[in-house]
Amino acid sequence: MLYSAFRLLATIALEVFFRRIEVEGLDRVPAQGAVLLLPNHTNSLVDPLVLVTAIDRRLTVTAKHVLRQNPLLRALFWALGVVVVHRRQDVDKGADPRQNVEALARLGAILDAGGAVCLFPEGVSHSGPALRPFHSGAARLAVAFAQRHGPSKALSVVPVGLHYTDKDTFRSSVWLRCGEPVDASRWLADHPGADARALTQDIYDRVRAITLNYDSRRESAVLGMAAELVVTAGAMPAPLGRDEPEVAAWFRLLARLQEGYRQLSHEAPDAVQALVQRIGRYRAALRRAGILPAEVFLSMHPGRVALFVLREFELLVVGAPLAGWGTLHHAAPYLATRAAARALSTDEDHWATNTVYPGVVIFLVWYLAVLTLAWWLMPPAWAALYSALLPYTGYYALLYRERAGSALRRTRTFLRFLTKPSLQRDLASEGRAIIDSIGRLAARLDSPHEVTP
Amino acid sequence: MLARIHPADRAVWLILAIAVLVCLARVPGGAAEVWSSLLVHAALLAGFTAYVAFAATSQSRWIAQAARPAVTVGVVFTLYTTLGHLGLAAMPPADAALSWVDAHLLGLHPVALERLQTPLLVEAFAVPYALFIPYIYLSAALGTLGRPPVERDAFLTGWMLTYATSYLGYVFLPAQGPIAFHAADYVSALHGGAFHDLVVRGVASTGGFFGAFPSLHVGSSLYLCVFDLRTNRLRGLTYFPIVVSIYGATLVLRYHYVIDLVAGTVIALLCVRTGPALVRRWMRARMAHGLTPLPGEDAHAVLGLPSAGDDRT
Repeated sequence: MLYSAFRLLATIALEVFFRRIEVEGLDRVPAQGAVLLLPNHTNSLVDPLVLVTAIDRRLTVTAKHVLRQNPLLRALFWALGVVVVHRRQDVDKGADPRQNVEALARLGAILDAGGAVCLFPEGVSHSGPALRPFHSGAARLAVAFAQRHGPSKALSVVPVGLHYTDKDTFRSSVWLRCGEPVDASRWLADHPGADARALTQDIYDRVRAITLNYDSRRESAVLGMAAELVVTAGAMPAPLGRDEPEVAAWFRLLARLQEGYRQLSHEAPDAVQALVQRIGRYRAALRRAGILPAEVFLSMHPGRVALFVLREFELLVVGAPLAGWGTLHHAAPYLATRAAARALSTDEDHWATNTVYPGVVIFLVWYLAVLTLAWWLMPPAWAALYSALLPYTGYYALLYRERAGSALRRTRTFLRFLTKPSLQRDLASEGRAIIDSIGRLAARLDSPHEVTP
Repeated sequence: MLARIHPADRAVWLILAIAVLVCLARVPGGAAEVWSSLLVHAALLAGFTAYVAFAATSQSRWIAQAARPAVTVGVVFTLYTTLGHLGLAAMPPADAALSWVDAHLLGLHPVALERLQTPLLVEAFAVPYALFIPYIYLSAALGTLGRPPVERDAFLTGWMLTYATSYLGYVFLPAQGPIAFHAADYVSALHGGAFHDLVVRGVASTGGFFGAFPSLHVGSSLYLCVFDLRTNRLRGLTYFPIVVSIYGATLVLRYHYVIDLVAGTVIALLCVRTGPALVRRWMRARMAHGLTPLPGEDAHAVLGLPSAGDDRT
């Protein structure tokens, strides 16, 4: 009951925080029987939230001991049956790693009973460009389970990849990807003499295979810039409200670019470096001009412009009362949540956590107060109408604000191009030239015999 | 040949053919109005058949992007009036049955709402009722211009199907609504303000009270809203409260029975699903006959405007 209520709240909170949540390979998580989910860990307490809401079965998650110092989180952990682990690096904060024996025993018992457990084998949430080495706790749990039950009872070890487009940005997107599960006892049978360390390495490789891992932050930045350009295809952007590419497609594009980038960095380093510098200069020019890569190819055709004006003006006018009402009634908790996130966050790892968790509390309290007042002061029919409109207009105001912002931005860019056509001509020509260069390099990859200098 | 005919065209052609058949069946001994109705619908059917024959063989993108939306929507909006009158002239009125269903099965006698019909409420509900017309015209424009071809065709097919299905009710279960059927039972006539006057004048200009079952105010606006919620969420959310208000408005303004709203809702929700399915089936049928999934080389272009992907600045 408590878990279901929390899951519902978390689902609402994540739907508000993220613009898109995409889940792939959910069928790889068995609906019944023991399951051990092992994701990468890059977004602190939001990672387990994404998993709890996506996986359609009760999930026992683990959390570091120091989080229990927060009384609200302590109550939440108690209500949800979170298993606390003690990390060595937290000993000075009161952690006692000896108690992990008991924690592992609890997790083992949950798996024995056919439950689902989520462990973060990296042991820490981080913003590093690549997966960190895994701790062996998860593998030891799996090996112990297999030794206890043998082939008679399966334990599915599922590698999970969590990808965030901009984890410290409100209304960014997330892609959860479940990899091919491994049956622990079968794996041990297939690898005679292998121990928990070998299984840890195997799981690490599987998680690595379904996540994006960069050599450096620079590589991540370069590929991100290239992907932003490639995704435009040098063509006119889609109308607003219809320009949401799949998150999975974005990360797949990044992975393809990375593959090519790495291979060509060895085979044609000069060409790649020249292209990287060119992309860097182009992005800098776009930033200076305050223009998004896709907007460079904005159509200046009068018919298209008329359609844009009709579409956006209609929404702007008809939606204004709803958006205004929603903004008026949610501005206070929204600003309070933002202030809390700013005050609590010291790094990008925790910004989303410090927005989502306090946000849930702040909005709950706000709703409780406002609705109590409404039912106290208004006749029942009006109070019911007000209660129905409150969350509706709140969500509407959020979408309206985004849309109005995008429309304003596109209008500004259009007017800049209208007054200075050469700016669009130059940017579009350079953008397409870069995309063509990337295409030519990709073609070299497709024909390896031609790569010789 | 059939594989070349667009499902939206088929839906409109079918309802026209049904109208002509009903007229032919009722002409012997029928009212003079049936004769004029036969002429009107036969002319419409002939004209529309000529258009369908041309559209089925033409490869011009203008057919898909401009002619089809304009012709089908134009014919269907014309039928709104003509079929309402035909139903009343050719079939026995269904008001008594609809009112009975409301009172006995749904537990709400239309006249029982009179105590709620204060001038303020009437005027308040007249606003969304009046907004219906600009809403559908704007939706028709935005639904057919600038949408990807398959989505546009699905939109048009489902919408035309909503009207065609609802018109079966207009013809075979003709009703004038509580405002006419229960006119003598109400203590007083409705009084509102400027918006209510606008609505009253609008109804009078389209020929008075007819076509109560099913409610196309509800069916059509719900279809448009649900289709938008699937493809353009913000627009769908923008109009959702107005669509909900239209439900209330049709009752408060005495134009519909509750069962009309239920039927309109069911038709709209079915058509939202059926439209895309019919278009997919049509595309498969075209391919099975060796045709391209959509007609015309440049089915992706929009009204002579450059489309996403082919605009070179």
